[in-house]
Amino acid sequence: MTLQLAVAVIELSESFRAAWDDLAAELDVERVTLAPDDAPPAGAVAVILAAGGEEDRALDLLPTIPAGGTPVLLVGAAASHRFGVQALKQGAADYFALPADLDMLRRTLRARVEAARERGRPSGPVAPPTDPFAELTGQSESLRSTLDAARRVLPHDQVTVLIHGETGTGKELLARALHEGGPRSGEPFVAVNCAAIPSELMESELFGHERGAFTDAHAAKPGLFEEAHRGTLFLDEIGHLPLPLQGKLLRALEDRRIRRVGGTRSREVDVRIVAASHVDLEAAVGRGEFRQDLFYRINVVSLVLPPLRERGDDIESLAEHFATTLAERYSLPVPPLDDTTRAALRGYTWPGNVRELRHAIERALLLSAPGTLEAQHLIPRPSASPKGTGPIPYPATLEEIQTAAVKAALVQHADNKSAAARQLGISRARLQRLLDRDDEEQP
Amino acid sequence: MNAPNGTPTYSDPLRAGRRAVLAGEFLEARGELERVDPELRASPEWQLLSAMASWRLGEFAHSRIAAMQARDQYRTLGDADGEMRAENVAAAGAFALGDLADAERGFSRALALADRLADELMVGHCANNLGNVAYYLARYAPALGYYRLASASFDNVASWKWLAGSWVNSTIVLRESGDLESARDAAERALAAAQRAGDGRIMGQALAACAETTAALGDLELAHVQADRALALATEHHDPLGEAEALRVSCVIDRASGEPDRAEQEAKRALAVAERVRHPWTVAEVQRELGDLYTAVGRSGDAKQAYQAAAQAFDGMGAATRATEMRARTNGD
Repeated sequence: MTLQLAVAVIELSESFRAAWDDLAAELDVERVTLAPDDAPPAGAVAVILAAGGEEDRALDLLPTIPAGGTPVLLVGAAASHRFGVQALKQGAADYFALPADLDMLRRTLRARVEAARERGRPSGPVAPPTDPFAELTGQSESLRSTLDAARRVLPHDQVTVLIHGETGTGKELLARALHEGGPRSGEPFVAVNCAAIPSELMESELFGHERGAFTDAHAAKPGLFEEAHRGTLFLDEIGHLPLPLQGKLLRALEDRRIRRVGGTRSREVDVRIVAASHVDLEAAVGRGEFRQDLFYRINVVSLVLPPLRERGDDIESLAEHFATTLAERYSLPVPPLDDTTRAALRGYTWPGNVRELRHAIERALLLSAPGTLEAQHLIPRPSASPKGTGPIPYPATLEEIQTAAVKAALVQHADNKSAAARQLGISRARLQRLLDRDDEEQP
Repeated sequence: MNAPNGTPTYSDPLRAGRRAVLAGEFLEARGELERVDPELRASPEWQLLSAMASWRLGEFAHSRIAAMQARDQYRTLGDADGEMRAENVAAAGAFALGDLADAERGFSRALALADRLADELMVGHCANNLGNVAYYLARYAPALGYYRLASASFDNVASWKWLAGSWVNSTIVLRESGDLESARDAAERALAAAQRAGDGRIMGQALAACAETTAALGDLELAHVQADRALALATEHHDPLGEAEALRVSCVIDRASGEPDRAEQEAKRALAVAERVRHPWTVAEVQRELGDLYTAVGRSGDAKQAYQAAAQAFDGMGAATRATEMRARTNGD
């Protein structure tokens, strides 16, 4: 059954009363009138607190409205920035001064309605709060002590956190938990892997750019800092930030302002930073690869995620957790973990940590008979080269190995010589010479 | 007003048309819009709704013109929100017609408006569309930047279906760039978002992207299973484009597994579906796969023909770099 979407209105004054019906009709949603102590209906995308002339009373009421997770939009007549700030502090999701902000209010509501329609359910009220660290499954002492420390940081949304941990240990999950469990929950959480962005594009990715700022800047583009406004920006592998950009990041953190590449005006941003690295940043500071001042700025609280090999029984409980959640994803029966599978899980060192374990369980789940998890499918066999390629000979002469490698690359790229040469890191002409040499040797 | 069975009905055809467009019922929307009083048909809203319905029904030239008319009217009225939406639809029309330069200009203007209006959902759509333009033009780094922005925006408004779509796009670009580990990570994010959306179609598309990445990583056994599941989901959810894509991916996997006959059958099935739903990008990609397959088994004449067809299809979409690459393969490069 589709839930009827609605805009709920608490009318403290009759100003702009006609506008609510018009807005509801335009958005094709119901308009519901609430008393200040009424909870909004299940389909409400927002509660409008209509306060034209009753602004002071509205400020007093805001903290008492039982809105659940539904955002309360305060609408008044006072076009004052200070009043707007007060409204936000009292718990309003936004403030609109009518009639000047009517278009802005319309867009805000439309975005919420469209988002609710697209995901097939309204934007609130939200489910009761759950443990933000629930996704970080495990009972090992090393993990528990990290999560205990993380819980102590939760209420402090201005504190910058640096997470250390090998690749695949769940750094982003921990960053998201810090966000979801803290005061910025409900605001944006933007994750960016600094290692995945070419260094020359990093500045425009983080701070945005104006049109024409550089050759490929065909359009103005907001940066990820702006996307994370009021929320959290998770900078994974921060050690990959180029040195000049480290200075700009530090300035952005100190000034709470950013400037787009090619732009002339600076923009205010309220962003909490959680950073992560799998390398020892302090050592990087010693080598001159990471700015000391930035290191101290982001290393206010340091959390360490242990590698999976040091988490003992967590391996099996994580495997069970993944088997359950992934079985649900693929509509398969949840498989039990038999003794052979458990032994295989314990007997491996999991260099790729939790991420590798998750992939292994997913693989085994899809390749095993439904309702089972066969140990033989947990780890991909090393001979993953396509059939017909043939193994690279060894022991063999260097020429034989080169020829075999060229043939393997050609099979993999459907005889596309340019692509094969690219993969082998040689020129196309050199690849052709190696092939010609092989032809000459044929009987 | 509700009909006896509880289904809402609307006496105002413009409102009914709007509801039908939002609900994705485009043929019905067309019918409702035709009932609108002729005088009202000059309104920007009618033009915009008509453009949206036409685009979804594959009538791109009409859609583009109607959207441009709506855009100009909204601009005259000073309605930036309407202008942004109309600009986006007009650009989508240009994109479908292969006018990538105009599409990029339009999406850029729409993105600037969405940014100014702080409309997160539209920032996501415009950024995703700009990513697609960059991808068609084989400009991978900017494409990934736009998809990152789109993902952040869709995540911010909890729009899981679109979030999954932008991660599927990232997966494809990362794989083609050779960054296979990042592609696998993006595919996992696409699957997670699709699961949250509870949408079988996007789940199938995410699985197809995942399967091709798994194959590129060398795990053909798992790739086969993922592609089969992608195909089953596309069929179950009546997603012909998803079906064509899953079949194309199966072709890639079978070719890599040394099963050229099966690969050819799958490619031909994919081609038939893509042609039926008139999706030139998929047609081009399947022709390219066929060309690669024929090259691998020494059928150079057939390969040449397939590469030429791919080049022609890429050309029709303004993807000149890709068309040139296909012509180079035609010459055996």
